[in-house]
Amino acid sequence: MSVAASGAAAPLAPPRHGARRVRAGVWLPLAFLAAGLGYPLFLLVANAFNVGDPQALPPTEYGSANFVSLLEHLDWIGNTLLVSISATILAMAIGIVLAWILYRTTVPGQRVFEVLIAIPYPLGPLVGALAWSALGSPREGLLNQLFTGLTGIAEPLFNIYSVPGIIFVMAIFEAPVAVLMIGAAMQHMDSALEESSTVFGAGKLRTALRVTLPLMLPAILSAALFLFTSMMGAFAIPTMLGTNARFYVATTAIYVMFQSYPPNYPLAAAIGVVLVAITALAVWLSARVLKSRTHAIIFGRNYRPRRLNMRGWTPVLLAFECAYVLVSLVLPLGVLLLASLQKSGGLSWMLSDWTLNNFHYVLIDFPTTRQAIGNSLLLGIGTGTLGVAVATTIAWMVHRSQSAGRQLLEQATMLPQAFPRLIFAFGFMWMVMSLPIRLYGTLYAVLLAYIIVFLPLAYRGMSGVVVQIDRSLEEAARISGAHWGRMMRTVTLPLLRAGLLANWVLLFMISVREVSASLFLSGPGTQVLGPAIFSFWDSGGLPRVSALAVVQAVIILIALAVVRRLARARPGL
Amino acid sequence: MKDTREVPNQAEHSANESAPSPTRRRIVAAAGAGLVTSGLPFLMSAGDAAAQGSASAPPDLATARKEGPLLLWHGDQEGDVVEYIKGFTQKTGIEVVQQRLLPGAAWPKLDAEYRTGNSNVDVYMSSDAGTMDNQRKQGRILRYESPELVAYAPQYKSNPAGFWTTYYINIGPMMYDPRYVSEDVAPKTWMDLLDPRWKGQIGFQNAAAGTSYAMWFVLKDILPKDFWDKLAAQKPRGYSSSTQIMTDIHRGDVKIGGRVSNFQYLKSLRQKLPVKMVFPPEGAPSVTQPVGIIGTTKRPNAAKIFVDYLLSRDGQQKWNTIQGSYSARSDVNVEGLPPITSIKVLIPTPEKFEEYGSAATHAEFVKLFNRIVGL
Amino acid sequence: MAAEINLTSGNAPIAAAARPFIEVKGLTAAYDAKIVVRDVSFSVAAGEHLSLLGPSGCGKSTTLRCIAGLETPVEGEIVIDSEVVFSSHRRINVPTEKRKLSMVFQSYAIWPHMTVFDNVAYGLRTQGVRDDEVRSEALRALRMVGMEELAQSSATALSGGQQQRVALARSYACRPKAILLDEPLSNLDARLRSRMREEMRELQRQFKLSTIYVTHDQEEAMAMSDRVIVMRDGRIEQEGPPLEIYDHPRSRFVADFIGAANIVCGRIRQHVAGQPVLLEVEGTVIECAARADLPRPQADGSYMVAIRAVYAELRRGAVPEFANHWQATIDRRTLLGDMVTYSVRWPGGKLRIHGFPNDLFEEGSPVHLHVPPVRAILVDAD
Repeated sequence: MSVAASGAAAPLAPPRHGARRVRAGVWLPLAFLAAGLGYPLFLLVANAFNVGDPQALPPTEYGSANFVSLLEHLDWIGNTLLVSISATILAMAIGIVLAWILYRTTVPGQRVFEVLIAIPYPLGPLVGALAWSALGSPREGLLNQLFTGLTGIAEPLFNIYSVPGIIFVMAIFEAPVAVLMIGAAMQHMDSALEESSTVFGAGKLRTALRVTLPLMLPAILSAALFLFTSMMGAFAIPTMLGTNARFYVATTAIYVMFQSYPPNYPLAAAIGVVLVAITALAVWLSARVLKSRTHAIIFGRNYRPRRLNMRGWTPVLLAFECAYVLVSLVLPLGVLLLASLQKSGGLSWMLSDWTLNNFHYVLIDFPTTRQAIGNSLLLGIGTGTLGVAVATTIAWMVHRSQSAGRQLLEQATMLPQAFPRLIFAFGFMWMVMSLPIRLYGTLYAVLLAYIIVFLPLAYRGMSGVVVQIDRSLEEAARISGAHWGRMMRTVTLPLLRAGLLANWVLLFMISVREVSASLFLSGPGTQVLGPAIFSFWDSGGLPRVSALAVVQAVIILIALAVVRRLARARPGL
Repeated sequence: MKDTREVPNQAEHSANESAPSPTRRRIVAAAGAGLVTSGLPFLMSAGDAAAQGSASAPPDLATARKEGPLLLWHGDQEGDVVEYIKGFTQKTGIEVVQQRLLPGAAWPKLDAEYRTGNSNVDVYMSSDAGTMDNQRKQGRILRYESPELVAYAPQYKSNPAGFWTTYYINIGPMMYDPRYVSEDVAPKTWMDLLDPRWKGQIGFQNAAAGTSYAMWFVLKDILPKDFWDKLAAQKPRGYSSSTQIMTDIHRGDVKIGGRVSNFQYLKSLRQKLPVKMVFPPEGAPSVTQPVGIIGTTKRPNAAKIFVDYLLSRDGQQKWNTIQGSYSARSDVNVEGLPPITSIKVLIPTPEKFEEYGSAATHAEFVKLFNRIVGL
Repeated sequence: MAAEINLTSGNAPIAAAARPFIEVKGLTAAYDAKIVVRDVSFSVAAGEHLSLLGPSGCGKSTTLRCIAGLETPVEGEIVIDSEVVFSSHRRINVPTEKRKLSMVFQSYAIWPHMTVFDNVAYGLRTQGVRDDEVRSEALRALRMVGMEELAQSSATALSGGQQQRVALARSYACRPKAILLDEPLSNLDARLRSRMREEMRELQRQFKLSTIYVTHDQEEAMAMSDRVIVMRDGRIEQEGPPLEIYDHPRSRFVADFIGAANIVCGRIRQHVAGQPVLLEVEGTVIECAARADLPRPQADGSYMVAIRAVYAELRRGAVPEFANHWQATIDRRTLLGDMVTYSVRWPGGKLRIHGFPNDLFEEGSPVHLHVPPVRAILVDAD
């Protein structure tokens, strides 16, 4: 009980009361991520250097022959980069304009368009590729037929089986992510910054370019990075639209290598390693750029940012929004619906050519698809629940606890971003195969893979929500006598409820539409929708595969509608 | 006194051996490591011995029904298999679950399942007889001499018979849609494919397909050596399935199917889409698609009954009618197809079988064909 | 528990009249590896209202949070109601939820997803009190702050002032041992603030709970406290009842911080124990309050004296030849409504002086300035 009289200039003594030990909530996820990411990466790298028997696991001989033979196929990497970068730029452009229209102007219909614009993302690239191949194939594509019918010109308007076609379809189905991320930043901008620009005489466009855009740069960069890494691992669209044009990206090459006999795992692994290196570099670069900028903007006090009245430009902007919804939602769903009702191939508008048999087939007759639908629903629920639970725990640990190692945890959580999904999936497959427990060939393997792959997205979402909760709300609960569990139950989780729900649904939808991550992991008994649609496309006719795609779309739309209903029932959050 | 030779004292035995023991131990260790890394053949034959014993025993239907759903792997059109299985289940009461897997994916998957000790598959209807035969040599295929084997000529059975049998012949003509290609300009021989007018307008299945491999394998000794380079200059497209080729053919996006599994012919006609087949005089490369029972099957009775039915006249008629393909049985005919006797069917001959099944030959093909389709 | 003698403040011992209810000894706390509270010690008697007053960054909030258990100090000891809740030497750290305190936050921390009633009842329910008792106690607390009609309203529908009241009700309702308040009035406008001040004093008188009140507003501290602790840079500058600190600031900082004071520097002309100290400023001599020893001088050896703006007097008429009467001129006059400030030029420089609007002096006019010697306090330099 003696007073420490000379405490004045003492150096900071290490805390002796466990306040900054590493809590279980931190090292458990870290260990999980290290194993779940590190081991597949390790296997991938090991296999990339395998020059002995391609099937041997672990490899028997090591060498760099695979990378050398990659040099002959630099066009795979080149094509991948071409498509990824172009599509990212296009998606960002669309996203920035849409976000700006939605949140900074007085163009009417914000609520409606907000919802419509968000839908294409969870619908997914698979649905997009299918739909656009039916819309844009040179002769029979619906749009080309319409064009020929209207103008009499025999030459098709466009050919979707081309590099621009691939870039276009990829961009419009990833743009909603950009809208979401940039929109969030735009809504929180302190409008005084823009207002002072106009006070000093700058017009609207000038203000938008000179003030708004630069302030948005962190959000823009963040979104661009997310899009870029997603597209590097894109599989469905380049495969379904590219092989016709003899255009191959890295993921297509890997897929073919996996299907061939003998499967050339080492070369595939070498490609994978190169892709991971590129995306990791992108992540690192953008982290550096972001760090050197101060975040001047956000969190102005509850002010609604002032909206610009665009006057004469309003119809133009409105038309732009409508055009986007048209190409990303209305046309694709429309043509798929049309195709799914057909009795035989081709797209006829005559009722006599229509039937509901295709739906009957995929929903009831065909066991694989029935199973796939059921599995996907289960998997979606599992991914949503576990994914949100893990992401919330991590978010709370990073932002609210005082445990050591929080920053490391956050960085580790965002790491899966650097791993193109297809590549991760087959590294993960090897890991699962080499484990002594019976995980391979079960849905649990797919579930684990999904959780790891989607963790960055879930964490981003939950992190934003957790941070918004005023710390003092939790402290008030503790002061009132609530221990940690009661506090979480009565205060934290109820406050997080809207965010929990929104992110659960997001994870549900994304896991239902995922292809790349489950292509190699699902199999007999564990079929899921994405790969099922893909292999259906391979061996089935357009009517049936369209029916299956429509079923997937309906599931996703129902999930979206449910969450909006529930969100509206809880006002004030 | 006791004869120590009969009961060797372990300690003495190893003591006598222990002088050169480091090398011996190293060899044993290396063998062990080799076992672990590649070691399945040893494990396989051990388990297989038990399976072989029951090989010739005829199946029992009652037992088969109780064995639970049969797990079938195949490389065919899922819709066709599902339809065929329905009929089989109706007839025998045995449930079947199917999964589509091309050989490139199937054998590594089987490897993996053996490694983790949980293989569940019973029967494989493959599209590559060569690799099937490899598996036979490694002792992974159950030998079952079905009574139906007598109806099959030797080139359609494994040697020795009973391991695998051809359940249909996949003949590969060229195909085109007469709405987009007129009959007079259509190619008639393989060399006609090199005509510049078909540049960018020919479609093949990609290097993953067993049928493409077979096509190259049988044609490479018949056609000129520079055929393949010239074919590459034609920039043909590589599709993932014959269905994909036909979709594009009927849309007019590609003009010629360079080699299309002939069952697509009847399928197109049944959808009221016009199509023509061309069987070149050099020969139509074909694949004898084998069906075999996997050695570690847990449902031998059901598997045998399945194979019996598939190879029987009734089963062959049903299967080939559903699919639109050719049976290896001479007493089965599918309506709408030209008789098999009028076609020059090219399949790998028995003496070439070893080469046909080798991984090295496959790898050579993959490299070449990837180049041809631009991958 | 003998009365604690506060050594660090170095002056008159403060004898807590009753047994101290809360004791803080040698508290050192850090934030982001920077020390923000250095070796702070004080105590609070039962039922006493103590304010921690100081500019932002002085460590007052951190001290409060350490007492609450929301921050963990690096060193020190905290005792509440004879129970050691924290001791660095004995490795004791009772978690927040077990300390039976309550706290009003600057942002009020009203839970938006609960009704007003649920907010107030939270603490009682957590303690496991019976439902009917919870109801009556919570409603009683709400009645005391005048929020009873809004008991069933959603918390999100409240204005700032209403939220503040609910926060108060919540903190009294759960029968705490002591109440901690962290700048509770700083988010309110001036008029509401003074009204809330009165109400809080009323509540304090009724409940008679030990209260620690953190603020940067010296008016609040003066108006509400039994004792005030002025903090600066993590240390205690001065401690004592409000009026004593006001009339007898020990340092320039305290003199400046509390009320308006003029700081004048000069050299000691004469210092004799028991007699007024003579200070020479710009050739003029001021008589300052007597003191036994001299305060800390500035680096150049000059001393500081604090003259409160309200204690300097302006008169009309002739200037007598006594000490501390001077001829001066009004330089500038500013009317503030209830008060007038004058900038007065006198032989020793310039002084700021407060007056009343009922007796105005004109700008430029000569005046008679008088500073009573006991009101010229010598203070420690920085």
